[in-house]
Amino acid sequence: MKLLEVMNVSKRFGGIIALNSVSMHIESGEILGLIGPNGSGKTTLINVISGFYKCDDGKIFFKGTEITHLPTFKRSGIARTFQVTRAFENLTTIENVILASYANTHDLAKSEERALEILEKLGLSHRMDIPARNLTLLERKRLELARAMAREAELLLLDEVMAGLKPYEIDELAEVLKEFNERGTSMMIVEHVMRSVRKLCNRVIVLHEGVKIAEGSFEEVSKDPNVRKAYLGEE
Amino acid sequence: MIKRSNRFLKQIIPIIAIILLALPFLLDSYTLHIIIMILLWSYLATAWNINGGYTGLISVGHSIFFGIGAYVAYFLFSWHGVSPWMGMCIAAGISAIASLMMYGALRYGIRGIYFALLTLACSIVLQDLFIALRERTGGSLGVWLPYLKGNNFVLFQFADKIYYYYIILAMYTCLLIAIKGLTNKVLVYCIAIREDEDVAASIGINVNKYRLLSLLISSVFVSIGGTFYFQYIRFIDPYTAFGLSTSLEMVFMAIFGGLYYLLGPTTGALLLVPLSEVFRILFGATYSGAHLIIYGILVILTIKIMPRGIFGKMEELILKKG
Repeated sequence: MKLLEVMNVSKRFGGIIALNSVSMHIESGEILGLIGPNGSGKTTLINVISGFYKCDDGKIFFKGTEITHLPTFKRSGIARTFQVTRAFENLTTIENVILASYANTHDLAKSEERALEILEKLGLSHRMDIPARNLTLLERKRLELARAMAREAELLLLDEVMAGLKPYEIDELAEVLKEFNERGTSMMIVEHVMRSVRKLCNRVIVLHEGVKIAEGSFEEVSKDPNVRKAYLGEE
Repeated sequence: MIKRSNRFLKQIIPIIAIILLALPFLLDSYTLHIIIMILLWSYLATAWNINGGYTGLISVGHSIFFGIGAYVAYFLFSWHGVSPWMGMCIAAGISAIASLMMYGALRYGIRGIYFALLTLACSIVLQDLFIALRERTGGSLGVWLPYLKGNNFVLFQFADKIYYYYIILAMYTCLLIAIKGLTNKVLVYCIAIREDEDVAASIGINVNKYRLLSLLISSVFVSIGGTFYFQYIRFIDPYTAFGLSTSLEMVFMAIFGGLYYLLGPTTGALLLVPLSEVFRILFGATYSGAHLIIYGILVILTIKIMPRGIFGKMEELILKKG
């Protein structure tokens, strides 16, 4: 079953075409990798799917219903992280996560329980009473992830949550994501860390200058001549 | 901010309630007047704080609602003989409509300092309008409420201050209860919006809805406070009604006591109202205006030393101890 379907979506910023008639879909239960060189439109695609940008052309369907014109807050089945980390700076770490869950469940006790569980899993529980503004960059990345997870959405859009991590930390985080996926959450991960993409993704999409240039398994995509050209230039 | 147990507060609430209820029988008329003013400013600053503190929409034009509350009640009473209680409700309705216009500005992306400037400009426009329309509004000389002898509940006029005291005490209690009732949902969302509106939207909060709600609630309460002020003082002019100083008073008290805290603005009013009274007595006759300078310096120092206000500092100290 197609969980999310993006049809011919375009997004322009003035004269720059950030997304040029991109079509893609995410199957229910899969982990899709979205890769591409810098400036290829990966984050723009996340912004369009999550409703932060209105797309100029095209349609987006989520679970069979069109959501192209829905405001962000109504896209409740979709949770996202921000590449440049953002948080409720003056609230504590756990309050950040509780709030994300609470906005969904309206049950404070349940939200708290859930927040604790997630923070424990992400190794942030020892920092839970510290204001978010005092977290290190890595901790902030985890907070991004924790907040998105707390929403219990069907689809997670993860924008470079692994950037800056050490290899063993990547493996740790990959395990957490995998476990989450096994519980039924579909994901689209934007990543430059190929180690994690190879490990996690069933399917990979490559964007280059706003155009989808390849799609397939990691092995297929990495052998694709167009992809090699986009990453390494003409041979 | 979301989960915070106030066990200490809960224990002393009955004691405070008894003291507040018995207070007017123990005080002379002048002290009672000061207490009424403290309560009124606590009420106004707390109402301002819903919007300015929790949601983070710093308005320096909340005197608009204060003025509407005062003048509309006056107009309705003096032209049509409408009871000020009714006028209070109608004025609150008009204030709500006025706050819708402010909300319109937000929808067009006017935020932060630009929002502050816009609210300031609106209040100045109203002030000048009321001065210019002399025939109808009494102009810069202001308007007096014709004094009736005795205590008349229907016309909201009392010879004894004690009635005003209980009315403002009830208003203030209602406001606190209203905020407490909201805490579970609306205020938490408002705080989220203040902290980061994009993140708030990303976790499913309807940013516009809760902004509008906080503006509406805040403006309606301030407007009711305006009506009370006029009925109590029995005089209002455009400078008090729509002036910058009235707006800033609310802002200062909230910042001084601690934005983000339920009782922050009250703490601010509790200290600043008597302080400005003392300064006025000390310097008022010989150096008029000096009390405002000292007042201003104090506020600057507080922000410098205690950016989260007195309440924030107190909490910090308690947390460190415990």
